[in-house]
Amino acid sequence: MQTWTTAKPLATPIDFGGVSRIDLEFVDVHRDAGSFTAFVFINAGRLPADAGRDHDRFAGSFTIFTRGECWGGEGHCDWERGPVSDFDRRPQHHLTPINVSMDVTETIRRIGNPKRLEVTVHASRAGDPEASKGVLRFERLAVLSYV
Amino acid sequence: MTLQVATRPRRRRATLKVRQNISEMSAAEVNRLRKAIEGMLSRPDNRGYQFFAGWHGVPLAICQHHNRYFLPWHRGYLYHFELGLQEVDPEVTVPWWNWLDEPDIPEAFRVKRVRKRKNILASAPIEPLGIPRSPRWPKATHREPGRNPFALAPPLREAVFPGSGGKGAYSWIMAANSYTEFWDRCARVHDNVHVWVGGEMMDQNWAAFDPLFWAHHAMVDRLWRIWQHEKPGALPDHDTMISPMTFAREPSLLVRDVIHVEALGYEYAGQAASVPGAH
Repeated sequence: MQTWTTAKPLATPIDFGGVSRIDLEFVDVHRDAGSFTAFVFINAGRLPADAGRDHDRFAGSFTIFTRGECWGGEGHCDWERGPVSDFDRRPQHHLTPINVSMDVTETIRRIGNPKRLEVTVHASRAGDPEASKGVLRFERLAVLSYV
Repeated sequence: MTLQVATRPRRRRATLKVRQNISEMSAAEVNRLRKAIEGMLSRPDNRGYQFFAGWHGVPLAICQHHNRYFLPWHRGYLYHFELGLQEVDPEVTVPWWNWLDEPDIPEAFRVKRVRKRKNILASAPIEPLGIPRSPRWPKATHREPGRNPFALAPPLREAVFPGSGGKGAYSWIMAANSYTEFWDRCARVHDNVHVWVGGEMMDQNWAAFDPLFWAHHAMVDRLWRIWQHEKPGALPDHDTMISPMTFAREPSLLVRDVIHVEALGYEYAGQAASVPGAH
């Protein structure tokens, strides 16, 4: 059974007609629960469970290759732990969230440069395609345009 | 009393080795690769297969992903691993898996047995060095290609990734105009392949224990090499170039040390053959 996550509609002050490129950016995507693939749809309304790449509101997908189950001791995969001192020059934790951007210009054009965006995502855990809950976690969704 | 005299090192002309497409290699060449990997597996020390696999996953986890060090770190990683192979057999190189054009994992990595012996390229043991084993860990690598239906399946040359403007993956990757754009595109295709293969390959903790890992990364590295040919000025920025990368053996390498593959002793080819010269 597939489940879908739909973000709140994003009322965009951007005139999509006057820009050359539009990116959708998932900010601070978590990488601490195993590899996964996310399917992204824009203004798709109610999606059938089997909606895929051929759906006309499909905007793209991304796959994140990351670590599965934590094999270390307590706190080993705690990516939120910061530097231990002002002299700590070690790189950030391997599981620190990342931003993932997608160029959705074509999709926005295809659906007529809408004033509002509703983004629906289906994220599926690698190795367990039916699992989708909690697979994609991120802090913010943004749309950016470029002249 | 012994008098020690410093002498100048003798100079020798270096010969580049060629990394070949695994599916174009002869049966003898593939068997030689198998023997070299088995030789590394038999070494329970810092020359052995488990030692190198552990850099990427359990226990060291020093790999770099989703950032500007992704390509140079893995190029350095292959360099170190290949030297480990060549300590067993100096003529062996890491092969590449052409997932742009091949519809499946290459046969050399798929067949379970070769001449009645287990094919080490199909599955390798997982015995992380220097850390107590957990009963939850996998004992050997396995793959489940296609089990993740949301990952794009090879061949990927014409596969359309988001933001590619309808271009096939190869044209899209090669059209990158900056190093930043290039590593990002490579990383997206690379991640997709790991997840499509499934099994241990889709988990950073265990991926490098699978012999297929090295051929997958040689393909990524080859794409970087091709792009470098086409965009010779498109280097990483200065700060990236002088950044040190962490490896578990010397030599330590800066990013700039791995920009030119000739300096690391190899080149890429589909096939390679040679005959003795005449004097």
